[in-house]
Amino acid sequence: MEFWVNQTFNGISYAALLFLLGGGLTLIFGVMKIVNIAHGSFYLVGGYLGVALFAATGNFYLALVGSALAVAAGGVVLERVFLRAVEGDDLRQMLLTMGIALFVQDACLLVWGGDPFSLRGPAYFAQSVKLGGFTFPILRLFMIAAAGVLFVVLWWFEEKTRAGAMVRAAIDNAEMTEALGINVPILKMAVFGLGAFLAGVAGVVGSAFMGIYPGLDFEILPYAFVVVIVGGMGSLSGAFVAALVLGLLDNFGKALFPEISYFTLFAPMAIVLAFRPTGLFGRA
Amino acid sequence: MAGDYAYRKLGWRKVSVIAFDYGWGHEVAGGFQRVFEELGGQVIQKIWAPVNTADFGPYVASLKPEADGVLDVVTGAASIRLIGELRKAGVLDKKKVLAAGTATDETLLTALGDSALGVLGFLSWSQVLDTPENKRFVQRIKQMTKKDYVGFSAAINYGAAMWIAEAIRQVGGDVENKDKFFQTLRATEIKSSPRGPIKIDKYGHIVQNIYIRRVDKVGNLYQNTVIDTYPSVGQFWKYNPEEYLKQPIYSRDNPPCKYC
Repeated sequence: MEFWVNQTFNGISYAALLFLLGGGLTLIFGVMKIVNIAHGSFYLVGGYLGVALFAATGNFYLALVGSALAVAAGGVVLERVFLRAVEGDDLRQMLLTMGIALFVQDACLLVWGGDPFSLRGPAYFAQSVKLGGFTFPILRLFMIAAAGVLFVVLWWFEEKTRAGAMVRAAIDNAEMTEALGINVPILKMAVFGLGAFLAGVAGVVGSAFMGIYPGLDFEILPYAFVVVIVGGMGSLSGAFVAALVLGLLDNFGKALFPEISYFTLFAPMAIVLAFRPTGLFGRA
Repeated sequence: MAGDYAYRKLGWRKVSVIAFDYGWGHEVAGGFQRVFEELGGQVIQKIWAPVNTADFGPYVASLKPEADGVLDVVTGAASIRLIGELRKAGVLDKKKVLAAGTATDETLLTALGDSALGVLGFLSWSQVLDTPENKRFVQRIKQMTKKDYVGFSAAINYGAAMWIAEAIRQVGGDVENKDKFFQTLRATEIKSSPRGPIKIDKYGHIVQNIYIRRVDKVGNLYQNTVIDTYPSVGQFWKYNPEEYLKQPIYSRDNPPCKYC
């Protein structure tokens, strides 16, 4: 019993991190139709800024919001200045994000050096709560709460608000949306910023959970892609479900069959690609 | 020698091993298991974690409670995650963890923070190794880097450079005569490198002291306190080199986990 409760909880908390990672990427992909290789860099910068802000202010939540906003602002600038210049050319846009990723990687190494950091966060992050005989680390609870809240807010935004309807329209047919008098370029910029914001949040939460160090940007990128591919490109709900499925699969895979842990995350992706190339929730 | 320390000094009889799933992890875990089980201990669990595992939660949750201790063969940034997880899951409050030394490398101590306090490790050096040579070395590196912590790589590579410099001195700078230079290099012993005396065995591998270290906090800084020393440890430990080399190399399944 303890095994199942513990492992399920672990899986869900890992899923929370996966959702934060993949959610932003899927938003960006949906609206802009580009594969944003720099997504890992947003995560990396978010994490480093989070560590720096936490060291300066001592307030984790301030560091979280401040860092994510800074990354979002950076994302908006990148979109406006660089990606806009090669608009409509997917391949060049993707290569551009690749270049940005390499540049950011080196810049971070220059600024923060090569030693790994870990964001300690408030003292209670290191503690656990006991509930009915089971132990739940508070950091993991926080991760689940953060991902849950962000998902609900984003879902509400996308499904229930006018701006969300515009985003959905742009995902389905950007040209037609523009013809209806909606300013798609501004929409794209906002969504890119939002995606970067999510990556920044993931970076701060992630650096509390698993530390932050050079090269992590390209290490976490495949995880973000797995979530996006399994969930369906552009689908927020898809990313949420995919993160949950993958987090639990990965966790139980590792716990029950440690020898195959290389496959637990990526085998489901291959299977989904083979049978549903658009992902669980994606539309062709 | 880690197996020797775990059995004789820590009094462990049953051990869980969690190690990186590649050559280095297999070697360290294999060597530990061989010595530990020959002394009478039992390795009751071996978990092979992929290099750069993002979440050690599932592994830590499946550690067997009856083990006396945990051998940790994970290094780099992943070590922060594993030791943090061991602390959060309460494992470190109940039992000791013996780590391959670089798991608590000085450059990781800040990031590890209080989570690593009390973790034991074995390595050929520590920043606070109490010898005049090491103190001088650490002081000079600190002057250059302006950082509180000096990493293991800096110390061992400095030792290696001392070695080459000494051999060059002995051949009078005549490094063009390669055979003579390499012969001299092999015969050279350094009595006072930062990590202590070093020499090479006839197979070209280093013979050096191995220090047992414990993560402590002194003032505001963390350190790897040296609590025990195994002098002049070579690659074959106490085994006969010829016989040792006939063994198949350590892998996931060698030595087999008899008590799992």
